[in-house]
Amino acid sequence: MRWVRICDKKLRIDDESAAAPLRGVGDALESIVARRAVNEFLFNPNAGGFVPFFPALHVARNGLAEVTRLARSSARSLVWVDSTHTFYPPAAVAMGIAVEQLRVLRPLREDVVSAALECMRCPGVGVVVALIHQPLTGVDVRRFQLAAERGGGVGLLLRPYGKDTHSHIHASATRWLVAPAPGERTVQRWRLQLIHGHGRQIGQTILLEKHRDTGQANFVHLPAPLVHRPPVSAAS
Amino acid sequence: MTAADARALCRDLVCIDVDPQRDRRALDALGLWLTRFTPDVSRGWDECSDPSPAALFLDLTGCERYFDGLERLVGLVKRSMDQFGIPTRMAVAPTVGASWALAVTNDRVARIVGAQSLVASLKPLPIAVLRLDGEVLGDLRHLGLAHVGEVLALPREQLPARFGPSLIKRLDQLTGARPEPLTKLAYERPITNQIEFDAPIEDPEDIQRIFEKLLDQAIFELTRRHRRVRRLHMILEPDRGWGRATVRRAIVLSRPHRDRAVLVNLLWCDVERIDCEHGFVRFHLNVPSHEPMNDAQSQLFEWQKAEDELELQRLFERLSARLGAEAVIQPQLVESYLPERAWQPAMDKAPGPVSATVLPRPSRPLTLFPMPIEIRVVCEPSDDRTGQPHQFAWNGQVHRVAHAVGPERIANEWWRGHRHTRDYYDVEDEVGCRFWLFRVIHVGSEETLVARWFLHGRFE
Repeated sequence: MRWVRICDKKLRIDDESAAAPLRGVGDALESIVARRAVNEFLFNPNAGGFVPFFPALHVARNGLAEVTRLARSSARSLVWVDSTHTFYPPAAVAMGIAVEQLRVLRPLREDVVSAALECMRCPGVGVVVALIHQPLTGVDVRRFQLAAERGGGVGLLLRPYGKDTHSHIHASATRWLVAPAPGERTVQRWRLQLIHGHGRQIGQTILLEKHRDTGQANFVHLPAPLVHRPPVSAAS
Repeated sequence: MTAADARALCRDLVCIDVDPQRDRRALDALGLWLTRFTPDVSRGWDECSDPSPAALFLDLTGCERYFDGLERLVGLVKRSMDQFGIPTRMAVAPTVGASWALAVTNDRVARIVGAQSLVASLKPLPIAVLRLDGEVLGDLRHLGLAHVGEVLALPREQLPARFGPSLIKRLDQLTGARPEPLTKLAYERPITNQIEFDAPIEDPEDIQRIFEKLLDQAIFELTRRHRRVRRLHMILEPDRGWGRATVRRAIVLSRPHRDRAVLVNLLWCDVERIDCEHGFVRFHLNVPSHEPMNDAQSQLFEWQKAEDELELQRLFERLSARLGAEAVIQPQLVESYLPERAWQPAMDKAPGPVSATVLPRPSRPLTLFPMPIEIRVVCEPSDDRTGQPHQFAWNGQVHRVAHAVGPERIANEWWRGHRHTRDYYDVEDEVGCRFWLFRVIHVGSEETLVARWFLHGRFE
């Protein structure tokens, strides 16, 4: 039996009523997304059309492995709700996701929320990744939360933030602010900042690095800022 | 001759890969269509491994009286084939072997041979029509035997010792001394149900009840045949006076079953999307694809796994009904150099050239645009045919390139008509956004080479 600490309270990880953090995402991290819950990656829609697809898929891949392991059943599916019709499955397979586990939905924009909700509700689905452009209401986010609890998987919503996006309305276990970060010639980087999460350090920022040639990706901690110290006197 | 040699001789050559399974399905479909002339239609023999033309055998015994004679019947079949655009050679003979031999040596005119003139008609035919293997044919030719009549004239008792048992068997089948059984194509009456009303039905709930009634009839027929549904077609015809189009909906199931509650739910998902404002008078529910029952024992210890899989299949059936079958995709990898052709949606019972073993390269973007977008790129050095991208403009923004990796040269599939080679660059701008660009060299006016740049995807 596994026990985890959430909000200074010990909970069994199979407890139906609780969102449980997932382990194993990176050695340096306790957890990044929660199972049986909705997690959000927020992005700036005015930053050159950037959408954090790779960080979402990287987290989804690890989440899928963990959900499948905990469910002790067959490999569950990863559903990618692709309302932009640009998702490229070979890139996901190259990251180590079995093609049999991958399903792509291409609904119309007005059907994205209902399609994602229905997938989250299904116990055969491990992870649902959906890009939600339209503003969500309080009823919508509550539905997402209930659907994730019922399905037992991980919900990953990619939402823009800013004016008229209603991004402040949420019922998510974790919320991350994601933005591209300058990389190197063969290393691409993203910056993830935690802005909401129970039992975690709000404001914590981590970097996700992807190596172009090997396809390997891993999380790294940002070095802590240097503490200002008074100059040491020569006499001491 | 290789495809390259053939293309050099004929510039407009269209190359299509051989697909024996598909050819067989097409031949079976044609054979089933021909059952309108006779109930007994068979496909050609399977053991014949040489590249002989595809053959269908129609047993016309007793059928000529329904078509005012054998000549008219043969003429109808010939005309039908011509209307399909299928080049055919036809012959009518008392035996299977003789009809095939006469057909393959015949020209476009159908030939009818009776029992009295059978041997006389076969004698001048070449020995290739005997369907023998190459070794026996070689032996016969070595002895100077070129026609069937010369082989028939040989002493019958010596033939097995000198040429093996196949020659005497084929000669007997040719003349009718030995029967040649063929396997008939099984014809199954399609499962179709329909209801017609005098006045249009407009209420979606009434329409749903109508389809439930049709579904009950279809399930009764499926139960009688021990079959399960794979695909359902709903057809709703409006009254002719309104001038509105017939509505057609297809429901494809991820696994064959005949669970009424699930099927009713799928029908409702479709009915609620139909515009019923002017109503419909005729309703059809067809089952074009069904499969035999295959009752497997359910899992004893891993029941949770079976439950999860069942839930997943039901989910995708519901989504297919609600969003459309094309909106729910099970990806399949395909062997291709071109990035946009490296995957395809897995089609129902029609697998493509899947490459499950070859993993895609990790340097592919997660976002690939359906069509490459032409962009303006500044190269460094200034010679843009070989230089690396320095900055580019896309979507009203200028992106200064901080890092560029490439080129990765991907040759296009010339045998599909794509001739241009692409040089791909993986570039990152100053913000950290990464893009996948490629350059194509064109021959411009005055025989100069011109580079064009395209944005094909994003690493985001």
